[in-house]
Amino acid sequence: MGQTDKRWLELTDAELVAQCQHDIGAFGEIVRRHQDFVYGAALRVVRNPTIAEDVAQEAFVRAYKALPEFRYESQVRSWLYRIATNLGLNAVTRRREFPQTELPEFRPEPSPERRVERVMLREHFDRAVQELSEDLRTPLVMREYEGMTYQQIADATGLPLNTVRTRILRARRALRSAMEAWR
Amino acid sequence: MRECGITDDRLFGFVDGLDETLDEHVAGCDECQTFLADLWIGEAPHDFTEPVLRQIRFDEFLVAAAKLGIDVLGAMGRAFIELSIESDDS
Repeated sequence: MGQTDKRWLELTDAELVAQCQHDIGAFGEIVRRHQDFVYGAALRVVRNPTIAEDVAQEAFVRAYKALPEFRYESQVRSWLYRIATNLGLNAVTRRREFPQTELPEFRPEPSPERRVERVMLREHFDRAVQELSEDLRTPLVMREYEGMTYQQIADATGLPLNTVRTRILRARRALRSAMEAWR
Repeated sequence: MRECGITDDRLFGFVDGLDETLDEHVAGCDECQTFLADLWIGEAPHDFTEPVLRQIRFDEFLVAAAKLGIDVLGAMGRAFIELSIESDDS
């Protein structure tokens, strides 16, 4: 995860939106907080990781430009979800109309500070993983450390697919609690 | 089971593209979104924060530059008209 300004961490989404008028850094925290969700929502619609990245990034840019229209009674996450889904549907339509050849992916190298931060996070993460019960740890390790798909994990463990998903979900929730304490 | 009545299995089907009937419900259901947010933890392939902020700053720069360009053109136009009037008077 990227470096983040500590003063934003305690704020709610709505408070961050209000802060965005004065400091774009607050919007950076909204991106950091919701990027997995927005990417997941985009990927569900477009079914292509490269296009989902573009859609997710564009969704945040559109959201920022539309901040003056944000109604505080609605949730920021719901608002982002709708923007990402609509952009995803547009991308799917465009892709059907104008099929394109995919370009190779470009991955920027992380800075030295970012690498150190990642190493520290990783160490803490590893310790938290060791404290999980075996039935949660095994599918999680397969997913996070070995990069296996849910289906591959189900095949390898003999567990039903949705049991795998549920266990990974529970493991992530337990880890999130552990990481919150560290943060 | 969530209060909204949608089961985990239905949401898994939704994620897999097998159940499109949940589109509108999920868009407005905080409980279902919380479940999906947990399911999708770590899914983003990299941190979008910097690319997004860079794009926003660049777009804002373009808007500001365009406004400045219009102002400069307007000022040049006004100066041209004033100079024309002055030369006509002389």
